This record gives sequence, C-alpha cells and structure tokens, in this order.
Amino acid sequence: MSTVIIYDFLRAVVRVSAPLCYAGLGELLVEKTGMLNISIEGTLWLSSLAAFIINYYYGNPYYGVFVGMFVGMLYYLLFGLFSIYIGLNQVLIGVALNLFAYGSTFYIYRFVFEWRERTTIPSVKTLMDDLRIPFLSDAPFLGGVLFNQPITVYGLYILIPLAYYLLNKTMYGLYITSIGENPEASDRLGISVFKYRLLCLCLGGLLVGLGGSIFTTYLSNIYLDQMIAGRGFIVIALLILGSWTPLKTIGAILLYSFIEAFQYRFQALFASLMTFIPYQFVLMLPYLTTIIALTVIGRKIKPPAWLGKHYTRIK
Amino acid sequence: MVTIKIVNVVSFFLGFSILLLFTVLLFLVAGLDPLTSIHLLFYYGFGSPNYLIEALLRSVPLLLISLGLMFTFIAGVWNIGAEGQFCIGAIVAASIALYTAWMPFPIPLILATIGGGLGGALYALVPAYLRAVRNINEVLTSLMLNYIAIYFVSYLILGPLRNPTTNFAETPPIPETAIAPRILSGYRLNYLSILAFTLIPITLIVLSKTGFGMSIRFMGQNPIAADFIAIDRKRLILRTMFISGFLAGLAAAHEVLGVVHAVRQGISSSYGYISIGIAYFGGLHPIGIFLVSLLAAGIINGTRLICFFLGIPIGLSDILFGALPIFVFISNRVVERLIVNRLIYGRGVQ
Repeated sequence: MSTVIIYDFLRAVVRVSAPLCYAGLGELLVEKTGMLNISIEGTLWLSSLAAFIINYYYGNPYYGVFVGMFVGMLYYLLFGLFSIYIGLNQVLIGVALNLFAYGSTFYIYRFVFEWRERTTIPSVKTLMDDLRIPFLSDAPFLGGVLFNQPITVYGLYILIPLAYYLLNKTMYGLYITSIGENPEASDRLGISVFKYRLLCLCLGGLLVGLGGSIFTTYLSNIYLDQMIAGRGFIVIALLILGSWTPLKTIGAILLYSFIEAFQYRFQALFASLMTFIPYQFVLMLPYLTTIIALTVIGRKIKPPAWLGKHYTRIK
Repeated sequence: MVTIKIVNVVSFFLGFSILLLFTVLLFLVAGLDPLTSIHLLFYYGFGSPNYLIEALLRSVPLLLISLGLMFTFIAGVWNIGAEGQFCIGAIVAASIALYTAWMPFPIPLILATIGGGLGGALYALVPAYLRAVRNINEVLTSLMLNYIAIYFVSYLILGPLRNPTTNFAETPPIPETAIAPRILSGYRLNYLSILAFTLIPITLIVLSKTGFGMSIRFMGQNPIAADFIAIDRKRLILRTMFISGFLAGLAAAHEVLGVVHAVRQGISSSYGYISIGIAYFGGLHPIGIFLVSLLAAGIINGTRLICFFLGIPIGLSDILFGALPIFVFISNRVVERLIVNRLIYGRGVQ
C-alpha cells in the first residue's frame, strides 16, 4: 500500500519537474550569455496557450508541442531583437513583454473560444500518452518511475547530460561562458557575441516553449488564465540557487518539484499540517529560499558578470 | 540640470500613434467599428469632467510609484520590486488603520499613511541592502520579493485579516477615522491625492537643486568616477531605494485609505510593472512622469470601461502597456538614427 503511494508520488515529482527542467535549461543557456530574460514568464504563458489551441483544434498534442516550441522561440527572438539590436534595457523590455503576454493570452483565449456563447470550459481529450520503455521500466521500483513517462521526460534524459557536456566540456560552452562574463574581451578574441547570443536565444526559446506547452498537453486538459502562476520567476529563482550550472539547477528544480508534488498529493493526508503552514507559504518557498541563500552564501553564487547589462560593439 | 530631450518627446508620440494603429487592429479583430471604439476609449479616459477626475485619481498611484522609481533609475539601480513594496504598503496601512480606529479622526489616517510608506520603504531596503553590501543583482532579488509580498498579502487577507462578514478575499472595510476625506463630494479625489501632486515640484527641486540629486545623477552616469569624488555609493543605493519604496507604500496607502477602502486580492493591478515604463517614458523627469502617468491612467480607465461596455475581454490594457515600450523604443531608434543623424547631422546609419 505505502509503496504504491510513494511510487505514485515519485512519478508525480518527475512529471511536475519536466516543464520546469526544460524552461530552466533554456533560460540557463540565455543567462549564460549575459542576457537576463525575465520575459520567460510571458513566454510560458503564450506557449502553453498556443499548444492548447493547436491541441484543441487538431486533436494531436504533439502538434501543440511543436507550435508551442515555435512560439517560445519567436518570443525569445523578439526579446533578442530589442535587447541586442535595438539596445533596450533588458529588464524594461522583459517587463513589457510579460505584460504583453498576460494581456494577449487573456484576449486570445477568449476570442478563440468565443467566450460569450460558450457555457462550458473548453477541454481537450488528447493528452500526451505515457510511453513504457520495454526492459527498463521493468526494473524494480525506479524503473516504473523513470521509464513510464511521456516522451518529453525521455527528452530530458538526453538533454541534461548534453547541456552539461555542451557548457562544460566543449569550446562552444567556453565561448558562451566567456560572452556572459565579458563580451568585450570575447568580441576582441573573434567570438561573435551577437551570433552566439541569438543562437542561445533560439535554443533557449525552443526549450522554454517546450516547457510551457507541457502544461497544456500533458499536465492538464484545460487552460486557465492563472495556470503558470509565476513559474517562470520560480525558474529564475531556482537558476540562482543552482548558481547557473546545469546539474545544480536541475537538482534545485527537482527539490522544488518534490515540495510541490508533496503539497498536492498529501494535502488531504496532512490536513492539520496544511492548516499550520498555509499553501501561500509553499508557493513562497522557492523565492524565500533564494533570498536566504543569496544572503547567507551570496559570495559563492556568482552570476555571469554581464548579466542584464547591455553590450554594444566598440566603435 | 534635468532636461527632456525633444527627440524623446517626438518618438514617444510617434510610438503612441503606432500603438493607436495597433489598437485599431485589435478592435478590427474583435469585430468592432475601430473609429467609434477609439473615440470611446478617449471619451471614457478624459472626455468629461467626471472621467477626467477619475483619470487624475487613477494617475496618483502610477505617479507616486514612478516618481520613486525615477530616483533609483537615475542612480542606475533597477528596482523592479515596486509591485511588492506596494502590496506590503497596502497591508501595513490597512492594519494600522484597523487597529487604531479608536483614536480621533486625523490620527489614524496620518499614522496609516506614514506606516504604509514606511512598510514599503523597509521592504525596499532588503534588495537595497543586498545590492549595496553583498553586491547581489537587485533585479533578481526585487523580482523574488514581489512574489513573496503578493503571497504574504494573499495569506493575510484569506486568513488572519479576512473580513468575516463577506465571502470575498478582502480585509474588513477601513474605519471612518482613517479614510482620507474627499475634496469634492461625488468625486473620489481626496486629500491624499493632493499630497501626491505636491510631490511633483518637491522631487523636481530635490533632483535639480540638491547635492543628493546631483550625486545620484553622477553615480548613474559613471559609477566608477563617483568613487573618485568620494560619493558613498552604498549609502546612495540605500537612500534611493528607501525613497522608492516609501513612495510605492504611499501610493498603496492612497489606494487603500482613499479609493478602495479595503485591501483586496489584486489591489495592485500591475501598477508596479506599468510604472517602470512610465518612469522611463516620462524621461526620468517629474513633469514628464506626471503627464505620462495621466495619459496612462486615462487609458487604463478607458480600456476598462470599453471592455465593459463593448464586451471585449479585459486584457486590453495589459496588451497596450506591453506594446507601448516596444513601439516607443522602435520609433526612438528610427527618429534618432534616420532623421536626426542622417538629415540633421548628415551622418550615416551606424
């Protein structure tokens, strides 16, 4: 009995963490090059809505995921256009793009689904299926947890080592890190700052879009306005906790997902505990932990030195 | 001296006109007659004395927050935590008002106003301290603190401070003794709003005539040179953030004690975020900020009313405020590079 509960719970942890892991890796790639894209929140909103609409009308969640990825990439490239080429302050444009995303998702959702005539909440019947991997899923206990999941989770098993390898062991990773630390010096060494920043925005946008679309193609069959509810900012917080390294970030995301899944699963079980610790404090936890961690071990958490600063080529 | 550049003014209006074209597009998508809708948007914004006074009232929180942000932005400190400071200010003002209700009339009002301001200011000191002493990016910390404040307020108004007589998530109504009296009966403009407008000349003087204003401008333009003339950067960061948080808290006190008379879920309808744009587009100058915040307030009121009357989803004002910076900045670049550089100075596009 109790093993079944724990088994279910661990599967839920993996499930909840998948979109955050994608978004975290995408944003990590972007922040490594020294761009602080706080419009990750808006990107998640837009891509989850796009995926939902496509899934609703075409009845195939995988189309939804693809379109969500594309939307994510476009929104990240829009950020890149303003921050790299027009040279706006990244914080300002991030806030503006977030507001734009909040408003436009609200607007688009109501127009696409004819909010005045409709009486029921639109829901989709097609969600991504769990794919059971033949031999691995038969392994005792963890086999079912790790290898009986949708295809997006398997994507992560490839992506996380790949991101680690790319950032730590290859020349490109070194380029990306050096751009984030000192774009001027990198430019003088012949590394094309703008090219790498755009490339990272493309890749990062694809990953964040993928993360956002998982919300409406796997986790839930309806779309809600407050669905993302600040998870983009949570990802930024967890990125700080992971001190901008892929493995530590994934660790932080798993820890957060553990708490989130715990809160959903055992709300009824530990009702007395939940009245003692209201749910708002659970939502607050990643932010509070980040602030406390920054205060206590702030010296050990070193962001890319040019994070959030604008870079223009020396004339 | 603090100046407003003509290029920026021109490009703001150019960007604003592009925004209006974009709005027309949105109305067409919604299947409405665009010209009537645009007319209604401005009519509900500024069209009659009643609507104009409502716009003035709405502009007060925007004005206060962006006046505060102005100091931090001039000093080169990116405080995006105004949303959180606003929330904390609101809840502090409301609780002081609720617990001092037994005192005679003006005392609870004054206490709650100052308390709201101080609440916001102390909350702003957290990212300021981390930036000044620990050298931690204030953008990240103030962003995190926004959400901490929002959830904390949400906890309070659903839990300990909840109004027991209604089903909504809100505090009990503010007692009579703490409500800011209205200037004209029938209009919601109150004496706290007047206080806000008197801050425009005060901030202008502080900015252009005092050593403090001088040193924050110096620091914003060249932080390294500021060290050489012995400007204490840490102290200035703390001070500007304190002012910014105080004004955000004051804005919250105005909303709670003067307009809404309670703290509700979503009392700050992204004022903190919109004000970042307002401070920037007002050219970091108090008068510019006043004009832009009045315009923004009219647009907020106008979009809310046309959304209500014409049956469009209320997401319109967020879309417009998200799109405004984009258009204004594009037109700014176009004006600067194509017109000023090429036609006036005869330089090519860089």
